[in-house]
Amino acid sequence: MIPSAFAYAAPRTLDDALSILAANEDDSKVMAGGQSLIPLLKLRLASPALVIDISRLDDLREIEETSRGFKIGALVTHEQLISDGAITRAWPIVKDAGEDLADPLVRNRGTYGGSLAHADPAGDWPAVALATDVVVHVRSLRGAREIPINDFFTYLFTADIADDEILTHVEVPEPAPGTVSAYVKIDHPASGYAVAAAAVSLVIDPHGTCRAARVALTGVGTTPLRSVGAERELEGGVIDDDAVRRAIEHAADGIDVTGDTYAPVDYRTHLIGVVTGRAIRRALDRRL
Amino acid sequence: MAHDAMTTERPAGSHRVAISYTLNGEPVSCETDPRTLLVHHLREERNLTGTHIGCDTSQCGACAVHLDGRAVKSCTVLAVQVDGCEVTTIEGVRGQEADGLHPVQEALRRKHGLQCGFCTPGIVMTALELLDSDEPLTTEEVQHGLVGNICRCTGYQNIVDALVELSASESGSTDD
Amino acid sequence: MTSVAASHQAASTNYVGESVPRREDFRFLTGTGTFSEDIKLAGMLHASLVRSTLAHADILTIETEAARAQPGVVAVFTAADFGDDEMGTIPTDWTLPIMDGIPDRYPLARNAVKYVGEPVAVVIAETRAQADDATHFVDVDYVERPVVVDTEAAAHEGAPLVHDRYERNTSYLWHLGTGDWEAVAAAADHVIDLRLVNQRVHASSLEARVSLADFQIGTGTLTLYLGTQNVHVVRRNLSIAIGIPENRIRVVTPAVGGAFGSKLCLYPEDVIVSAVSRRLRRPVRWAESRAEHFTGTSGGRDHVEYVSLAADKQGKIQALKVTTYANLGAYVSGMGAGIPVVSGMMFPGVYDIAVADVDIHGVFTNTSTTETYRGAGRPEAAYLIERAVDELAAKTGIDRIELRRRNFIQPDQFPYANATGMTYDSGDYEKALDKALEMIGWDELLAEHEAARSRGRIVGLGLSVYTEFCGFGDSHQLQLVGFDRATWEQSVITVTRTGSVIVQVGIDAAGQGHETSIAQIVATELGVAIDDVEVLQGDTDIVHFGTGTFNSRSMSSAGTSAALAARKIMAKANRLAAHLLDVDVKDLVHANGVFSAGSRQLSFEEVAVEAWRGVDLPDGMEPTLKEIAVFDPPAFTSPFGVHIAAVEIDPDTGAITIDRYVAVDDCGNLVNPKLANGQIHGGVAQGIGQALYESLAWDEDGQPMATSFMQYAVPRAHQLPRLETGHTITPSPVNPLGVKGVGESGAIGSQPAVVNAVMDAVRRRGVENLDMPLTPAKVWSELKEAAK
Repeated sequence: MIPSAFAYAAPRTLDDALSILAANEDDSKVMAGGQSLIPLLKLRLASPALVIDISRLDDLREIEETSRGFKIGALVTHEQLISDGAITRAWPIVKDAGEDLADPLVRNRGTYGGSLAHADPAGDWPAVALATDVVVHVRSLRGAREIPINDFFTYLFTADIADDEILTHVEVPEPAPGTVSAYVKIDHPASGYAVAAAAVSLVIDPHGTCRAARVALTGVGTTPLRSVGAERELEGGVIDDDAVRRAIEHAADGIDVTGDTYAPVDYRTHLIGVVTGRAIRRALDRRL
Repeated sequence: MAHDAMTTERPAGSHRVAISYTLNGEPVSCETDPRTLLVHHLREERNLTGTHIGCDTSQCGACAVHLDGRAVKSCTVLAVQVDGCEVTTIEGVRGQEADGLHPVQEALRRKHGLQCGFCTPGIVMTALELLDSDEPLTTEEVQHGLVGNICRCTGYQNIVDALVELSASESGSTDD
Repeated sequence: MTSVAASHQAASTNYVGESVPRREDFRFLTGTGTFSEDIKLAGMLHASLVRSTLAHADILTIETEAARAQPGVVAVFTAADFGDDEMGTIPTDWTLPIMDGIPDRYPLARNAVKYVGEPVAVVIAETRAQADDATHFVDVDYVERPVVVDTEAAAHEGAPLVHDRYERNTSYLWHLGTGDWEAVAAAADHVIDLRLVNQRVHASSLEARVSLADFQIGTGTLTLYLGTQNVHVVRRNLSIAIGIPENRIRVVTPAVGGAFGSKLCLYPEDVIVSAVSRRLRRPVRWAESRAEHFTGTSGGRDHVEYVSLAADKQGKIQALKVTTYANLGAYVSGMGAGIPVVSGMMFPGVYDIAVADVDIHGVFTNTSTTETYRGAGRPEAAYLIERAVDELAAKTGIDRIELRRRNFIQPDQFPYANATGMTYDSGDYEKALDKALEMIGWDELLAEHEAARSRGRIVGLGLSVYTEFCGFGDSHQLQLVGFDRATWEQSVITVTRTGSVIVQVGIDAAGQGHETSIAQIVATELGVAIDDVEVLQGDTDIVHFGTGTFNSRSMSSAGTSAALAARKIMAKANRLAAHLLDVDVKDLVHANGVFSAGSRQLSFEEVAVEAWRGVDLPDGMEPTLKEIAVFDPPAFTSPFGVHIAAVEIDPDTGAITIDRYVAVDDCGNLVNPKLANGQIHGGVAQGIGQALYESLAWDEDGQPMATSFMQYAVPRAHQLPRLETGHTITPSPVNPLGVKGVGESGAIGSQPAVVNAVMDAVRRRGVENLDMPLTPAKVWSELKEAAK
């Protein structure tokens, strides 16, 4: 399968990239690792006139530790992220999800930032990003903009990035003291994508009380999203078996669950509880 | 660079871009169409047909090559993207034995880890990276490492056994 | 005449039965194996097809002008551009005598399309990209017609018709069996009934199909390069379709990247590129995309089956009744029509059942065609009878092992003719069963499972005992059911002046390692080093006749013909050696390539030289060592075996884990144990794939639901259990090598073993039936439903 013809630009600076994008915003695609875009081009589900390859923007290649946490450049690959000791110690959920994402060859090439921008409703990183409460940074010639991850995913394969904007980096906060996190996915046997997956981050105080809970789901709706029901059952109390049971029971509350032939709505709704419960327990097992 | 000239007009016919890169240790300079996938470039423009096309959707790994030392799927890389990079294909894999087989290839042969042979170059390229580790690999680790490679003939068991055994005997050190 | 060279002790040349490493491996490991798409010809053009987007429609108009104007486009063709003499209908290889012919299937659709993916027009351009681009400018105007997808529904009154001339979409209703089911069932102590769906699956070899046609106007010859299991059938059928005589068609199959039955017939694209190459006088290549492969290349199975067993108090099965609805797809492909019938002939399985009443409906639907796929009829049969026997065990309360033992055909009953018309050559099912039970530790596992169940776990143990048929013969029986391929196989052996050996054999391997195993047989027969034997196949100009690789026939048919040709060579070489040593043939000893009479010796090479020179020959002997042997098997071979699976189900998700898997297979004598084991591994992997993961389905509008490996789940490395394999050896009496065949056994024994294990786990929770693939959602839903 061969993509439709397109022109190609491989700018060396972000400013160049933004200028090219601004001039072609109606009919171009920004490509980082290409692991989502190139399959779409081949199937001709996307046929832009111009592909802007940002993989030469060397400034965006690093994971930086900052006073507030981590700054992940747009070109940081999945493999780079899961091999980074500092971030995976702080956020074991990153290793959980990353090691189960696609396959080693795709992980060598695909990027964390690209995955967020692609906004696949069954993507792994979007759920992890929701659970870790990241902030997405985008830029255009008009200026820079920060988007809290909660507001980022707007629809099927759609994120809050304007046509002239490029995702430059993502800020992952330093976890609050007492934070535990985990990701559990049930994947489709063919595609490897989540049939249902839960990303959980819990802040547990020394008395065992859950001060904050973020439970994010992927593969279940039109966007990656948070489970308000599960979070409500977890926050403010000790997470005992009963709390986990309640979180499982309410995990799918208010969610318009997607059904398909592989996983009809009732089954997927049930799986939401299963992955939520498993992710909570896996996270709790990580308490020191 | 000619960025200023870039417009939204769809390019008519062929639109060539010059690239220079290293292919199996040899410098290559040529022109290619931006939409040419690396696998098509290798097979049709470089006549290196050991890299195969199995699926079109980045699932099967028959097209695996090394790009700057990392295993990637050449059906999901544009040829223009390898400008300035190092590419190694199955044709660039060599061993020190008289018959030229790399230990990974020899292990697959010993264990009957191939039948039709169509997926085999991709398995070899993936395995070379997988085995590039100091620790011996478990069966589960090897199975997981092959999740991006489809073999329809062998049921994988002999492939996995070959790689686990090689990893144990060499603690994963490979020759390249 | 006495040789010095031959006087030292020669190494053993007994290669049969040894795990000789494959000579094929080096080229594939190094990426130097040549597959069809690796061949590039000067001036080669590229074809891209416009395919039907609708499952059933009349074609009003096809607009091609805009496509013709695209860059690089050389031509755009539709059916209207070719007469019947240039691009005629595609013949089949198996039309049952009761069939009302077959529906015309033109390579490019004429007037109507019958399934999504059917070729409608072809764009020819200088590059593949240009050809692909231009297909988007071909505009087809359709009038939609009603669609039927479901096999059973299609066979009933009132269903939309795929072809107007076939009422109830029925191509045939074939009856098999003997005795009076009704009477036996009425008097029986137990009767069980089951409805089983053996879903459509797809071989999906990792190499999709490729066709490269090269017509040479100077000689009037056409060369077609493609991946196929049978170059000679392609040559014949292509000759019929495009009107070039067979002696001016050359068909070449280089390395084939997996086939499993899906590359046995002539496909529309093969005819299209051939006709176009003839028209344009340039080479034309078409390379299939994976999406085209899933929608256009034939799949397998797709039967709906109603099975009933009648048994007495002791569980002795007295009668079998089956009604099968077999989906042929929109047309009849290759051997597609015959498979459901030979499946029916295997329904009694390994059991001595006197009465059988079998109806098989061959049904058209608006889906792609079905064809041979690994096992071709036997997996369906083994699944049917083994599921039914477990059901009978559950109903009667008789232990399923004991029940099977009570019903087995006994070793002294062979050759055994079953109640549906198939004769089994040999078997010893108890022996294989005992071995498998011991390997898995059946009784210990049963006890472990009881303990696990008491702790709430959902575990199960299941087995299948199967037999099948291989070696496709005898020809007489097969002609009676309309089989229009040969059953014989031929080998030609030539010994060169320097003693090297060339074997030309009419099979076409797709990963089985026949270059190695045939060489083992010939080297052993001739007493020469295996490296001195070269095996040639896959080119009609090199091997003029052959029947191909299918039905696990390559060892029993081609291996035998190679052995027989080698024996003819040896008979002549012995006569010549005796003449040269001036002794009587009966006083000559031949071992490991050395002919000796007392202290005097001659090497094989020395005899070859004299044969070639032709100066000092016995009276009446012609020069050269070159012989042909054609072996027509007198009967089918009957491999058999026992597969056992132990499974656990996650009650939260319905996901199945296979914890243990034992396969004991009896394929007669083993030519190369390592390669035989490899065949079992691959077959089991595909069988487990069907049992747990794979399904090729269409929605009610006939739109395909699986068009890539993103939807169609071929197993990955981590999705398969570790296989513990064993063999018993019961030589086949129907060929001199005593081989039965091994290519399909794994795919036959595995599905029923896995599904029976899962049923063992869920039956006691009230689940009565499950159909493949056993997806987690299905298992979870059924468990939930049963718990209500």
